[in-house]
Amino acid sequence: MTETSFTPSARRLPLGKLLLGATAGAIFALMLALLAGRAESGILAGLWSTLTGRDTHIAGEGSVIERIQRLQRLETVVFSMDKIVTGSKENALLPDFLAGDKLLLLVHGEVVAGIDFSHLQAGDVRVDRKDVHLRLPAPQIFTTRLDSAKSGERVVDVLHDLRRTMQAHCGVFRFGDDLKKGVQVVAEIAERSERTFIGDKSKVYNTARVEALELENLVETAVSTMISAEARKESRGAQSRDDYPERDDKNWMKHTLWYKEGNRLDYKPVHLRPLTVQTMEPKVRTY
Amino acid sequence: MKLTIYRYDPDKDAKPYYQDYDVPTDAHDRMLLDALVKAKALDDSLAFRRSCREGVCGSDAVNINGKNGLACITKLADLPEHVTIRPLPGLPVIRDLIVDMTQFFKQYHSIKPYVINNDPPPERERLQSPEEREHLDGLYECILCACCSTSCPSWWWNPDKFVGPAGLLQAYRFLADTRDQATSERLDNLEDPYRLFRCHTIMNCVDVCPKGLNPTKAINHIKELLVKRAV
Repeated sequence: MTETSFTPSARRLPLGKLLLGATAGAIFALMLALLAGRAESGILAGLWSTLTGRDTHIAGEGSVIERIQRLQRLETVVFSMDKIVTGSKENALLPDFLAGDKLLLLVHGEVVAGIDFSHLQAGDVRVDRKDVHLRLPAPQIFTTRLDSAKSGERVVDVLHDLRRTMQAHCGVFRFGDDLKKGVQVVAEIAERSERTFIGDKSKVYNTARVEALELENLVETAVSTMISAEARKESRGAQSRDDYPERDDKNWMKHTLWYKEGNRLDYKPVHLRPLTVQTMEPKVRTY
Repeated sequence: MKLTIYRYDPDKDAKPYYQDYDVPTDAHDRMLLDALVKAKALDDSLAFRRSCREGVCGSDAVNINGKNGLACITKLADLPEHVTIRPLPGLPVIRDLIVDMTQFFKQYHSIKPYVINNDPPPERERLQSPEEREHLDGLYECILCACCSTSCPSWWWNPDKFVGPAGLLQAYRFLADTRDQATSERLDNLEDPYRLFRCHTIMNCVDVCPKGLNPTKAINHIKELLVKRAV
């Protein structure tokens, strides 16, 4: 936790400017005094009260904190770094040039760090008279990666393989063996997608970067689709399985939920009692 | 095939240049966009906009061998072996083939592109007869790709003052709509030596429109309405 306080501080000014400012200030003060002297009546009174402004609003602590929270994140630093990772394997008996192994890897990464203002608590802001004391939340790392790995696969290649895999293993007509293999293949592609390389380093309209982000989203969708389809041992709606051609309401009338954490599946029951329309018995659709 | 593409990245280039790409196309590549996508696979720093790949979104409007069009519905078979692709003319280039469309949309918004009707909304939709609806054919199909306006010399000259073919086509689309009640306000808004009358029937807009629309005809209809109103 860091304590920061904001107070108006006097800045050093060049002497010439200081003199000029002082003279201007003196003239302005004189005018104000004259104005105040005659402020009892007429238009000047109105002008005077506008100038001095008696109705001062001071925001309470609650509103100060709300406004800061709306800023959400303050990204203070973006680090671009290169790091050389070395590794070696030695053998106790044989000399290195016979059995040893050395690894050299150049890793290029980007780290964005800063402060997340949404963690700000009411007690972190203290207002006393002119000063606002603000206790900042601990700085944290927001994102790492993406421009990572100066060496890696091209996004287009991973994208192409993902597309092919989904078409071949999880298309319109689905087969048990293909699905089972597809789960494996798509997991490999998901792993590959984390080691992609973007050649375009421009900060202006970087479409290569957009495509890399799209790949990340597509991989998630593909993995969830493949795993859910493989697990569902029936045909229903858009899922048409060769090995389970029938709809199975007894075991499979439930929604599939896929969790990215742990790559696991869960199910939740189907609402069979709508709130506003009459209940209809679910049955096989025949045309 | 050989593509010569206008390149400019303000992040690193002092000035724009042309870059050649030898793109290995095969029978699967039907449209110019397929070739562009292959060029991007060779060099991911090539930037262009694309989305629907079927002439609906209007993102990939570019200048193809000197003529504006959508890369996604321009057939490779209709093009020569060597194609030069530039960004749309008359708009500031952001990067490579991507232009800043702010000025274009500013003109589009200036004609109030929505039905203005002050009657309280009926219980269901505001109805039109099939004949009334027919008046909108050839007007509503515009996808705002900006091929027409950026091929118009009048618009190149006065992009801030002349509404341009795309905007005027839309202006007439709402003038022709029987559900719209703001006809006279719309005509007031266009009765101006620049906003409407910079159109000198050059008809580049008709020549390039990828959806086969006719902005010049719509502009003439607006002029007709103005004349009818005056007499």
